[in-house]
Amino acid sequence: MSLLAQVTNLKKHFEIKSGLFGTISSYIKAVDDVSFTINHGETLGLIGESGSGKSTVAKLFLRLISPTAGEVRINGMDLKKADSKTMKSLRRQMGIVFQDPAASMNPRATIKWSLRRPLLVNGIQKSKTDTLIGDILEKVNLGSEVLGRYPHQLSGGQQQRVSVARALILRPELLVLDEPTSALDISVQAQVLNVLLDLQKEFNLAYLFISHDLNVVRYISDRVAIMYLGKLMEIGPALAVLNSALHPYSRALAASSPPMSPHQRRRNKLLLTGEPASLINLPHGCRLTPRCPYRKEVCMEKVPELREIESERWVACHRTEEIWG
Amino acid sequence: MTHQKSVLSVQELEIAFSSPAGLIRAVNNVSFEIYPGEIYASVGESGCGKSSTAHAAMRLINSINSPGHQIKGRVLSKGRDLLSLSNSEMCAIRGKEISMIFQNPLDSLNPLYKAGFQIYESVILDEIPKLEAWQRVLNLFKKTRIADPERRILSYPHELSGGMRQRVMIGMMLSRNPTLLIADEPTTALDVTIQAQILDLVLSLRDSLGMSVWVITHDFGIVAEIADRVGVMYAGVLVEEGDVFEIFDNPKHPYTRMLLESLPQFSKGEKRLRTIPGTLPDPTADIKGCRYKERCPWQEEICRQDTPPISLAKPGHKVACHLSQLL
Amino acid sequence: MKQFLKVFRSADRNKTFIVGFVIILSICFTAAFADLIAPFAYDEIDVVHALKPPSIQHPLGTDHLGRDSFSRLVYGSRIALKVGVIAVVIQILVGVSLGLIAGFYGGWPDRIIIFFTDVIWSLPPIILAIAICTVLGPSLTNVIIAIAAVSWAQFTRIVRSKTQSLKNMPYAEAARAAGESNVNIIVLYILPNVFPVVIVLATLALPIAIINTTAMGFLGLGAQPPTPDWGVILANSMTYIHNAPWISIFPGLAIIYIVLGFNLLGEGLRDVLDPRLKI
Repeated sequence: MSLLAQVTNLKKHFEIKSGLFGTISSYIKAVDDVSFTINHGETLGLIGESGSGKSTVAKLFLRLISPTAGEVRINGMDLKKADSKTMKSLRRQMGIVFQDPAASMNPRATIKWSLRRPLLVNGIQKSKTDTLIGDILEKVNLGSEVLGRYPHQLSGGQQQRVSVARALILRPELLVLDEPTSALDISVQAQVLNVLLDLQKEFNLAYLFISHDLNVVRYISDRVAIMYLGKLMEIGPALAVLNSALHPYSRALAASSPPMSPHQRRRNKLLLTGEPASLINLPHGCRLTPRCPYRKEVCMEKVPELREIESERWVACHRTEEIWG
Repeated sequence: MTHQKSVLSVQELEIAFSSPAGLIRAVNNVSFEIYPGEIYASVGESGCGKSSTAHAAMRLINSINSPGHQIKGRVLSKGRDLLSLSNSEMCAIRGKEISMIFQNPLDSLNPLYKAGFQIYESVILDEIPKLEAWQRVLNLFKKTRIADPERRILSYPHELSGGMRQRVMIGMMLSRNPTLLIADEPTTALDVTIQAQILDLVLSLRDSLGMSVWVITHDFGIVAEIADRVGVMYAGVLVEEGDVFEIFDNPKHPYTRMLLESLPQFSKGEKRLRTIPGTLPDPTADIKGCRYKERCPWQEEICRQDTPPISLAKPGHKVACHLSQLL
Repeated sequence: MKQFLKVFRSADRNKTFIVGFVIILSICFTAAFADLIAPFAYDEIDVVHALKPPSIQHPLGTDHLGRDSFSRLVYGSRIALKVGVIAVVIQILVGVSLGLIAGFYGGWPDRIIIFFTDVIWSLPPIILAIAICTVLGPSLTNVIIAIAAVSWAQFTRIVRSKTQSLKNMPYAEAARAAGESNVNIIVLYILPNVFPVVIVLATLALPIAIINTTAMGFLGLGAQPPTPDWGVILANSMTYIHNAPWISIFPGLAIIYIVLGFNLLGEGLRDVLDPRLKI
């Protein structure tokens, strides 16, 4: 597996201005020192709840916003240093799919127009666009009848598949998907997930799949990263992280995830107490401390670094060895 | 179980809405019972009519929000048909005997009043002295496990997190000890770890107060977690109903089976999720026969002609399918 | 164009638009063929027959100089249209452009634009218009300029706020991710979605522009005699309201007619152009 994307020490701090002169009073540390890699053809699942920073990571990835610090490299090229021409070619290599399928298309344009724009913007002649559009529609199992329609005339599943088609029309190497199936019905979700798997195989696509749903992430991911309040808690192979997590937060997520069958109703769950801290007023040391059942003195003093516990498994916790032996 | 007197009895309920495209048949001849102390889940995808059923039972569908609607059938509670009561009689029941919480707690709470006051407004309807009422409010905050309750009573909704707001809603709805709590997608807007806390809370409140809970959801995980009995709805029809273990282990209706098989439960490469071909039938059309037939791999001639009758696969396990015996 | 014709086929749903369209069309028709429709010239003075009530010769009577009211009303339609449309078109061109720039780019362009917008917005329009007309001199063209100059701010404010919310919509972000230039995003993605709001505002701005012109005319700052501006006719007829009420009723009705027409047209147009209302 070769390296496609590399994120190093990525930070995004949003300034909060207040007072008469708009002076900066504090920061929202939405993404705070995040590092990970994505290889060609693999899916990295990024799991987190609200406030975890996962959507901000997606936007940083696509240069929709610029980082406060750190770098994002695609195929070795640093996004920050890219001039506009390189940026354009880099943008061709990445696509994005959003959560709300209805809001992902220009409501006043036909589907054909929305699919054609990325091609035209990237210098493809109008005469060649029809074939490319037809091709990609077929790949997502949509018929050409959707071309003349407007977004609101399609169902949620169709809208989302058009969104996927648009993201893939320039044949990128990487797709960023931000909660792509959260707004869809169960049966429609299954369709979209299967389409994504098929396309991944056919085009050797890499996915950065962001979601809060562990079961969906398990179905589609090779590796999984878990974020909490702007930091990475754990990262490793999907099954290892989801089924036998080492970080207390990962375990709590897995335990809180609703079961697949009533037989798996948990009696003694590891429920995190309380609510996540505010991003403006973060606790010292490990961010999970106020809620963590394993907390000790050291957790409140020092921020835990991501450490490689086993091969390819990284955990940010002071007490991993203590807890699991 | 079947001999108990039910807390809510929905009988042959039909709901239709008028729209520019025609008459939308949202709910078609739905009947079920909810028993004391049980958690009953109505589960289905969008357009199945589960939410409309609950809103109709609470008489929340009126000529202002749904002009031209038609409701037929009965919803019995304590011997009365809720659909035939006057508005003031229904007001007396809402909040007192039957309460409802909704999906987005921020929209359900009045942003201009403090949280504690909103519960107080509900409690005081029982005409108890002020001091006792506030005491009850504090107890409700504690019972719903809101941290730092004395301070939170004085908080405005926007100062509370989503999970806390939902707890305030639950507190408000339980303040007068209802026999039935209706929860319409209560945790959809909440994070997973908070959702787990809220579901746990609902379970423990059910155990301690002995009330029934009617949960409306599209999430089978929630059903698996807390439901006692499940009613699966599709295109306005109750297609299958039974004990939660029965439904998950032994689904008899093709829709239930195919839907359960499309739940993501495998790891990558392990097995492919099943998908359901086709789409929902046109809600404005007058459909002959089974409403699921276009998407059913076992479709037969009889499915196209006759509405499937409700049969018992087992005591307590109802299925609306012509071929349930064979599957 | 195809969509336009479809509107007439689905006349049932687009009643508002069609009624408004017919009204405005009738006014346009009247304006275009005024020479053929009007039996007299608008400035044909005939003092002998002054202040005569409606008759076969003069269907709407005559005014204090014996001019045929009907002919003056017919020629007046040209002015009503000219004033209303040109003034509002200028307002839209200026106001919407500034609103888009301010809303999309933020930062310094926004601060500068919002400063000017707020200044103009806070000045009473009629007084400002009077001031402008006094400086430039009384004429219909100057009235149009004055009205446009005092009222563009309403468009800027609304368009700016709408642009600020639209630029964060997923489809705008997807466009940026695909490499669309900022100009393209504004013109192709944001402008079409801002359009319905602009239309609604325009239908409010038009009648107000016409009323403002009347005020100008009343003060003698607008159309000069013998130009048959409806508002001026109305103003001048006040003196004779007891002897010859017909002189004031008909211009009043005409003003109501054109205002109603534009209102219905605008409302209907917004619905017609909204893809979401196509079933």
